[in-house]
Amino acid sequence: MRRTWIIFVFIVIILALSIVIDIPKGPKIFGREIKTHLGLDLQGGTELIYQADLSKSDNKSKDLTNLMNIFRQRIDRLGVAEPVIQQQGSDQVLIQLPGVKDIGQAIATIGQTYELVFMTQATDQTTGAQLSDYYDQNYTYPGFWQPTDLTGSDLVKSDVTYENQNQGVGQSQPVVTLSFNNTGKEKFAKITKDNLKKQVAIILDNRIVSAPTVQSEITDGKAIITGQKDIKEAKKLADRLNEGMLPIPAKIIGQQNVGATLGSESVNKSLIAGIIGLILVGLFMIIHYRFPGFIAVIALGIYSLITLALFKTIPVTMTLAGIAGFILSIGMAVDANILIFERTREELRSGKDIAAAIEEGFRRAWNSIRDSNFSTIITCIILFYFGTGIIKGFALTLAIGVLVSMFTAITVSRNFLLILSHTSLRRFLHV
Amino acid sequence: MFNIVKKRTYFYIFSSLLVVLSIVSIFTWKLNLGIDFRGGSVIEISAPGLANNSEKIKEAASASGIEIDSIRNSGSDKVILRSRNLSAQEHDDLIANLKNTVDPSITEDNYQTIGPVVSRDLTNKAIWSVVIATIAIILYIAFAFRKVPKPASSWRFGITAVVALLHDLIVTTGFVSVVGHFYKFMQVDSLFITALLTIMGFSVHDTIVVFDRLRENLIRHPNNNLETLANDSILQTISRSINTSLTTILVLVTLFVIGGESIGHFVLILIAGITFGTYSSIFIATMLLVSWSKSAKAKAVK
Repeated sequence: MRRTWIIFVFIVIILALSIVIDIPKGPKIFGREIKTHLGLDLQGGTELIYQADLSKSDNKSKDLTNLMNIFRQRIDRLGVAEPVIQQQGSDQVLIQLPGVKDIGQAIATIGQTYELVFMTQATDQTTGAQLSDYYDQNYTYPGFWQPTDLTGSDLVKSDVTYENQNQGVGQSQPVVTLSFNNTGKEKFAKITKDNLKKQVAIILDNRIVSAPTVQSEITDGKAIITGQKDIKEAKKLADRLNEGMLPIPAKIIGQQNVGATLGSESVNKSLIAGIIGLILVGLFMIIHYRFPGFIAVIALGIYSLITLALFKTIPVTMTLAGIAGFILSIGMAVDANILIFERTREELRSGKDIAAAIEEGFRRAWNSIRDSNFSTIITCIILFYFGTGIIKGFALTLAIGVLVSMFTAITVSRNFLLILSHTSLRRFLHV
Repeated sequence: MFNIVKKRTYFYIFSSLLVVLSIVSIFTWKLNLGIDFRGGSVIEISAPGLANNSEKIKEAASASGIEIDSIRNSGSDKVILRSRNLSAQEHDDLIANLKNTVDPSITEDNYQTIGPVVSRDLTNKAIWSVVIATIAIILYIAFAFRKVPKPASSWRFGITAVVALLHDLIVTTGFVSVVGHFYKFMQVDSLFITALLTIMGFSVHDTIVVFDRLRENLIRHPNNNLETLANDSILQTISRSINTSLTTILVLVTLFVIGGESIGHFVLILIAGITFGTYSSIFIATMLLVSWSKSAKAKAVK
């Protein structure tokens, strides 16, 4: 009996936690805002699928990651909250932009050609242009800039190393190295010769990433950019340079634009339908199983609260398919209770007293619940692994739902019934 | 006491008939493949009274060089167009052209275009996930029922469960094909795959509950023959099976009646599939297990 009460307290704590999380304006946990994430079909927005042409690539996964990073930076500039940028298969990138209605503008921003160019200083605005900083758009670099013939296609590699400035004294400094191919080597030698002690700017996406001053003529096709604050900044710059180096061709093979009105309409309708459906199930359970049915309904209520709290915390992006997965998991949670009650009923018929019948009913039903739910979870894992977008969402919500339903069936329903079987209410427990 | 196991031939005939009819329907009436599988574009536009303008819309599309494959009204203000896979430019031109020539107040509510690569990927992935999930289920059941007493074999449990499952999937697909022949909303898209997978989960779930009971009975009454025990197990679990399916179908029917239009077909497929799944777990899976064990025994005696 002591153990029963400990479990009861445990359930109450979990329930309280879940309710706190479920409240619409949820609290921040570990500095992260807890809120419901709605998928594109519910919220409205734009989805794009890009196919990268990796036929000329020698490191496919790295190049694809690079491409995705480039996409991410461009999308960040669109100011989209919670974009999704995902690899799909070996050479596709899925992009979801919630709330973006103008598909044309999104494609233009994401798909614009990005090229790395080296520029030198111009005397005035007739020969050059003013450019802003790559990281801080509001900052405009002093002076005017004109392009040279040295571009990203002449660059082979950019890396970060340490340079020991004072020969063993003091700290070594991170620097960014550049290596050019043969044509790039010649072009770079000429530029450095002509621009000694002047700035040469490295431009990406028409903004200045870095504008180092040429210290000496460089003929070996290797350059070093010093003056990086720390390794992080150096790494960031090297990444930028690598980005501009190899623009992988990518084309759009699928696009979708979901209107927000359609989305919210479906959510509301499905939500109302789900709630009415649940009430009907509750009524069925109470009419059919009476008082224990009522306990089961409470257990299902707790089940729903815990599951929704998990969806918010993980977080699971809710889509129509995800909601379907959740509703089905409710079906399986109901099933666990029905299995238990049917078994308890049998045990009562064989003449056991109520507490013993409940214990035995749970014990016998457990095999069925375990095996059937595990087969569902296995299916979910496979779907999650092999499936595309909506199938994944469905598999995830169903799996979480089934796991929580096993938990509530064996702790909540059982615990409540056991506690009640020791009170005067036990005469109502006959199923 | 009922003996439904004895009457299993009737259920075999009934199910075979269902399966044959389903396959015939799938091959003659085909499935309404959505653009997820076929590739192409769907455009939903709306404006007051737009449904009366379908001819004008077609003309405007032709003027932009786009052939409209089908045009469907949804209410009086909304029109759903289908065409081949469009490029971003073609799409923008089409919308601009529709606004110019048909109705300047047209708004685009939903637009989707899918190229052949995506649709082929989706089809492959869908097939693979079903195949792998099926194998995994056989393995899991064979493992979960490994302690089942001889002469029953846990592999037979796994394989008959999967046969019942395939029965459900085929019959459900047949159902989709029949409904799709008469009603255009029954599309085969990603949600169809999701529905089939759910039905898989449910069907196996149901079958395992009956099998679990049979396993328990086999251990408790080792001297009774399999046929009697199977019959007992079915009768002992039938009220649970029906109650569970009923509650699930209750939720689904509410979803179908008042839920959003965009998931209507999905919910209907689930209702059909769960009904078939419950039927097959009671009347097919266990029966097959009995027939198989009997024929294996007969061979052993020879």
